[in-house]
Amino acid sequence: MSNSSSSENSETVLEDEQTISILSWYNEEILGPYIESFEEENKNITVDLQFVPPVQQYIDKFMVLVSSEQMTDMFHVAGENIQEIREKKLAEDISDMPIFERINENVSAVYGGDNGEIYGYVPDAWVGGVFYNADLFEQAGIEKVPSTWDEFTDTMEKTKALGVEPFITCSDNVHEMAQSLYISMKISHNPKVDFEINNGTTTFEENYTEPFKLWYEDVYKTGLFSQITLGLSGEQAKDMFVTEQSAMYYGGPWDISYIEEKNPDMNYNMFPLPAPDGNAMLTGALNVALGISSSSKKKEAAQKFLDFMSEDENIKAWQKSTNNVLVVDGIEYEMGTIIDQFKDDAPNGNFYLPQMVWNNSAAIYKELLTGIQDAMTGADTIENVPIRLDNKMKELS
Amino acid sequence: MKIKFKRELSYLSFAMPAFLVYTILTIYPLAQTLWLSFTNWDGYSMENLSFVGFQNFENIFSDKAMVTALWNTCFYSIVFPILVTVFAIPLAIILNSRMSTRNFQRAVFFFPSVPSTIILGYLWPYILVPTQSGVLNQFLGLFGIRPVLWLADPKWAMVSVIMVGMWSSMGWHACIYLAKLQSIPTDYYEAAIIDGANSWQKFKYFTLEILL
Repeated sequence: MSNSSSSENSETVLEDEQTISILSWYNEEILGPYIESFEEENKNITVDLQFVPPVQQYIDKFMVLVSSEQMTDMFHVAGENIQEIREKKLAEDISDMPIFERINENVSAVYGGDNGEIYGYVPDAWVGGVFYNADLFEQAGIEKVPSTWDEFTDTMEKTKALGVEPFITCSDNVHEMAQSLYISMKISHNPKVDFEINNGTTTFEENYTEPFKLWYEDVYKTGLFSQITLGLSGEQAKDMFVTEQSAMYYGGPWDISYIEEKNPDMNYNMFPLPAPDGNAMLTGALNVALGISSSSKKKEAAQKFLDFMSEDENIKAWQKSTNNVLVVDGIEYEMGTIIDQFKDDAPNGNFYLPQMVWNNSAAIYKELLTGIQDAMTGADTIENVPIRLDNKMKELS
Repeated sequence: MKIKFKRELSYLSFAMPAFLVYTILTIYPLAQTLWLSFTNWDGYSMENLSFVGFQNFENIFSDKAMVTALWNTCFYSIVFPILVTVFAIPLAIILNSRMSTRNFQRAVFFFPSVPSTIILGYLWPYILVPTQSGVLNQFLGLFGIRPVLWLADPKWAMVSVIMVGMWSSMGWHACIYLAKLQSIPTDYYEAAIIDGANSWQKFKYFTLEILL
């Protein structure tokens, strides 16, 4: 952890003893060393960490603190509360921090406002994609990872012929493949689609129907993507991949240690799900950011903490704790995992998750998941799922 | 009247602290929640609230997932107690018989009600895995039955939930009925035998009548 103050803002010396409070979903074990180091460097500032587990408990606590006007000096800005932060100006605009010169503006805009404001600072993001068992691919005669949607379905057919599940996921993630197809088909051409849905210039129906139908017709109806996924928990799905009962699995950095612990000899890798035209984009999202409460009376001290966290040495240390990719340009680091090959995509913003953009994302996301589940069980049609999303959006606006 | 009130006042003063705590922590939040349910409250600010009538309730009851969940809850609430009763009474009668292993059998049937719901929730999904490698599907496979989509199909999911619920609570319910069975005087049965009643008549006119 760096103890040297590098940013200009940190040069200001606060005369009074101050305690800044942080509402965080990272506990003492993760944030503690940074706080300790910061307090050592800034003897007159004490940091009071208030840990609340993610995600719903954190959001509930956040809402209570906002509505009772008892907000902490700093808090996490996440996909689940950014809309309220924007609309109610709950966080300070920190766009003048020097670190943002090294972060792609499309990436910073995720936690930003309409006029270039930035409400949260975060140096890292997770990216995920299709994890595949390279040995099973070899047995199935697959020589290279698929680079188009047709090649991908062909890969599924070949692995199914081996007697394993071509692709496995759990009941809470059955939407992933359809959503990733949407990202590769639509977002890779126009990254603003979901922003346009938010402001009403287009609809879910116009943009999501095509990829959803393609997924349904090509892999669900054909039995390549099985209904058993609806009956599996996350751990069970992961176990099927680890025990080689499945050739592919939609994974992220949080799966790697589990896979390597359970099957250290497993020969696996990752690729982004390709669209029919060969475009491919990783699924991924910024980590939760740190913001300064607009109601804080200790903004200067809070800013010092943000400046401290944005020092290069601390960013590198933070990367080690999360094992995420860094979105800050100009920092050399090694991940030592299969995601290493994609780390250069992160500073360019070549990753996407619609939930980070949608207004009322928690409710829309729930509707998406139940819609896909309903389509799989025959309780609804796949064409109706985007319409349900439009209706939900209208209901909540 | 005054004397009566004075006497009541002392009793009331004892109840007052509990009444205040209950009012502040339960009655007030409940009333406020009810009031907020008729407004456009966004969960953050009480400013700019406006009355929206039954709009929130309309939204909830037009939500397909909500209606499905409500229907499933109603179905489970009706079917589960009926099935438990239907199976627990015969089980209690069997456990009340004079078999030498009856204490062991009582323990076996009562045991599933001991582990907490959390443990059941962790254990059963592994038994009900809808793949060929699932424990129950492997067992069914021995009889040539194809894998069942236990938790992967809405109808089978309901069957699974009821099945696990019955497994965990039938023994406990049987024990309650067993206690009642043991309290039925044997005189009734002896009298019935003298009158020529068969086993079914004894069950129908004595056992079942007294149990229910």
